[in-house]
This record gives sequence, structure tokens and C-alpha cells, in this order.
Amino acid sequence: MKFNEISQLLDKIATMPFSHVEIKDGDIEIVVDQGQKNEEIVASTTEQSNVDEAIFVVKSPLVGLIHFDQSGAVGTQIIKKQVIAQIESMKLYNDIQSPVTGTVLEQLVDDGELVEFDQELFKIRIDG
Amino acid sequence: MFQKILIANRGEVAERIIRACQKLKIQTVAVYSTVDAQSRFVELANEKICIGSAPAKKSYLNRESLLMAALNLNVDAIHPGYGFLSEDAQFAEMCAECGITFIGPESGLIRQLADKDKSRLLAIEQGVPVIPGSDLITFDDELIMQAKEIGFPLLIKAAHGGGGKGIRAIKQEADLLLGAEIVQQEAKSSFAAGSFYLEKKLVHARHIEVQILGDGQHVQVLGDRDCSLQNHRQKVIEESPSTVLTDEQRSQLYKYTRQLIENQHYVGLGTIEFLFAENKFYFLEMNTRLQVEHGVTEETVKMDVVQQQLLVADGKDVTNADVMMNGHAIECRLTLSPCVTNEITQFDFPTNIRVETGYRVGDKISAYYDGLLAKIICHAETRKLAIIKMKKALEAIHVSGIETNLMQLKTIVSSQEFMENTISIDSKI
Repeated sequence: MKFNEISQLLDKIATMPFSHVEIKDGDIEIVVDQGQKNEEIVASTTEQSNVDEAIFVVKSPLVGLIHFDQSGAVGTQIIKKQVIAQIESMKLYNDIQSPVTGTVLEQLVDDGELVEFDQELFKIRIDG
Repeated sequence: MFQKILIANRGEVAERIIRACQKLKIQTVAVYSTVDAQSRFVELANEKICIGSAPAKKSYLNRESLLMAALNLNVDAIHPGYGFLSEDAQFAEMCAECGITFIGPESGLIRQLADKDKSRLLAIEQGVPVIPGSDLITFDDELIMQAKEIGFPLLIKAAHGGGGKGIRAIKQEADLLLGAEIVQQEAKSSFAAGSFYLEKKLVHARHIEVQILGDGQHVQVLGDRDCSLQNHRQKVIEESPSTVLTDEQRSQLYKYTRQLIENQHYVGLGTIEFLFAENKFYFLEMNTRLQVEHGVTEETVKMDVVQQQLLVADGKDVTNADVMMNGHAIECRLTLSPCVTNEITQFDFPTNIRVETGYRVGDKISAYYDGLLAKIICHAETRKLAIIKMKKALEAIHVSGIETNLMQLKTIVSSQEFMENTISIDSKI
């Protein structure tokens, strides 16, 4: 799948009422969550336009204190549903799983910080 | 005094509380759901935090989210406003466990007083009259006996009824058995349980309520309000004071109020609601929180009751006095009517009267929350003058992009029934 094909696909999905879409085409898997109608997935515009690549932004599902796990460190390869952080709310630790398989590109908050609902936590490059 | 308060609410009441905090030099934290991110109350607060998605259950009713925000932003107190968690004993308890002041009475009192059945029993215990009614009825012979005792007209009410279903008015004994049968059938099909009870039907009843402020030892009475104009049990127009009471009746009303609440060690604002029919009062229920219609009380007692609420939560004492009311105040609730569009394109109000709103041009009204758009509050020396002021104010309101009840408000305020003040809770509006 080419970059502009993904882009078209995402534009199409954005106009549709789905809150959650998973599309698999060969090695490429695209997961879109648009419950809040925010851009939860953005196609990368890197210089290597011949490489199919997408970046997924993981957002906080609750208010709490974030605790990073070693497995969520920048550069780490992760698989879908792997725990990459925990958010502590009322002394309960809630696992944050990666919705995609890929590589952690960036941590967008600091360890131990208070995160609000929907706050961007991680950027993950979807491997494919 | 509190340094920082979190407001666990949205819209106009959140703004109202923020303004009271600003006057008392208290910092504020606004919490909001994702659809309220652009709302004015979020801008007005010193700090803001998104606590969840649009459904109230995920945000404004999300106790854990609210407390995590409160604890980590180091607030001393949480103001719940009205609705949402304002009468949630569990939340009040959780706040206490976290060392945060819940602005309202402690959880045990909320359980006792905000619960309809428990407060009714307390009223009976304290010698405050309640609407005569029966226990649950299961046999026909009980039905006739209890009905005769209560007298006609009466209401047959399904135990699990609601929304106008499972309720029948019965004028005379001859209609009793058939009415009971219908209610039983309705109840069985709608609520899966057929038990019912009887209640005296009050004819031409008015809804009159008393505003109180307690410090745990003393109870101050901040006048009364008449909220008889209702639409499906939702208040539409509220006034202070009630002008149908004689001085004697008013002192009887305040006596019942004190009888009910004086020994409860109540801290905070509260409203005791009564029905008034054939010159008698009947206790209805108590609200252990700030009310939507507090504005008309503020106009007549010349007090900022939200500031007072914050002060007593911080330990300020009040006296046992009854505060004098001056003049007359009327509030109209401008609410959303069903419509296909939801973006406000025009939202003009007169500037010479008090208007409380959380909206502005460009806002989209979310279907997730209640439809209150604005409260229009007028004060004048007499009821007649206040009505004239309100009529002018309503004429100067222009709202586009959404449908509202503005026309209905204009019709009511100009009606003979309203001018002559012969309205009741059964008035067709």
C-alpha cells in the first residue's frame, strides 16, 4: 500500500461513523480509533516516501499518574497488546497496551506525570 | 480559607462557582469532558483538566477521575454544583477519605436527607406533615379501606412507576377498583412488578421551598421561593418570595423547616420543598445542595449564597436568624427544544438584567447534558414590576441556530393566570 493510498483510506474512514476500524492488507495493519474524532493516526510524511509507514499516537484512557515500563522505552520494538506503561488511578495500576505492533518513537510525557484523559502519551511507528 | 477548589460540574453553574471563588480569592480548577473543551467555563478557571469523554458517566460522574485530578492538582475542596455528583453520598465519602472537603453536608446526612423515603420518615418523626398516603397495597379489601381513610380525590401510584406511567387520579370510590386494575397492569408490563400505593391528590397545590444555610449548630433561613410553574415536573419559572402566603403561613412554613433540620447538625446550603394546598403545607423532599434557582433568593436576600456556601464549608458560623427578603425576583429558564441543528449562531440578551449562561455564539449544544441554556433573572420592588421587567427582558432576547422555549416563556409571563398568580403545579403550560 502506498502512502497516498493510506492517506485516501484514512480520509474516507474519517467521514464514516465507525469508532474503531482495523484493516489488514498483507503486512500492513491499520487500526483507527476515532471515538473522540481526533486524528489518532497520522500518515508519516518522512522523506522516504517509498517506504510505507504510519505513526500511531497512543492517548490516555483515564486521568492518573503515568509510570513508564522498560518495554515502552524509545526505540523499543513492541507487539500489539503489549503493556507499555501503567496509569495509577486511586492506587490502582491500569495497564496501557499498545494497540499496534511497531517501534516506540517518542514518549510525549514524563514518567510520574499527571496525565489527563485523551492526552497524547506515545508515538509509535507502525512496522510493516 | 481554601486555596484551591475543583469544580466538578460544567456550564453556567461552573461559571457561577468560579466567580464566587474569584471574589474570595480562591484558585479554581475546571474539569471538562472532551466535548466541553472549548467551553467558556474552562477558560475562566485558573487550571483545567480533561477528565473523560462526553457521556457524563465517563466524565462528570467519574468519581475516580475527579479525585485523581483533585489530589494531584492539590485542591482543598470540591464543589459539585447541582445535578451530577452533588447528592452522591459515596462521592462525599470518597472526598473525605482523600482529605478533600466536599462542599455540602457530610455523606451520612446526604443519605438521610436527600433520600425521598428516609426524609419522609424523618419528617413524620419530627412532626412535619407529609402528603397522606398508604403503604404498599396487595389486596382489594385493603385498597378500599385505605382509600376511605385518605379521602378522595387520590392518586394510585405504581411502586416502581415514573415518567407519567403507572399513575391514575381517582375522583370517587366507584372508580377505585378499575383504576387499581389499570395501574397494576401498566406496572406489570412496564416495571415488572405490580405493587402500588395510594396518595392524597392535592388540589391546586403550589410548590413552595425554603432556602437554608447551616453551620452544623445554627440554621439560617434565607427566605422562600415559589416554583409552581413546572413542565413535566421540571421547574420553568421560579420566584422569591412566594406571594400567596400570609405572614402567619410563612412563619408556620419556617417553623416546619426548622423542626425538620435544626437537630441534624447540617452544614451547607439546603432546600426544603413543600406542597401548599388548601392552606396546608406538606413536606415533599429536601435537596442537600446548591439549586438552579438560587439566583432569585440572592436577589431578594441580597447575599451571594455561593460565597456563603463556601464560607460555611470552611467553618464560618451563621446565626439562627431568618433573613429578610426585599422586593420580588423572578427567574425564567431558557431551555433547548428538540431541533435538528445544534450550533448557536445568535445569542443576544439584554445587559441591564442578570443572565446566567455557560454558552456563547459558536457553541454546539451537546446532547449528552441537560438542555438549560440560560437563566434570566429580574428583580423589582413588587411582583407586578418584576413581571413588567421580565416581559421586556424576554422581548430583547434573540437566539438563532437552535430551538428554544422562548415563545412559551413569553406566553406564560403575559398570561392572566401568571399575572394574577393563580398558577399551580398542575397548570397547563
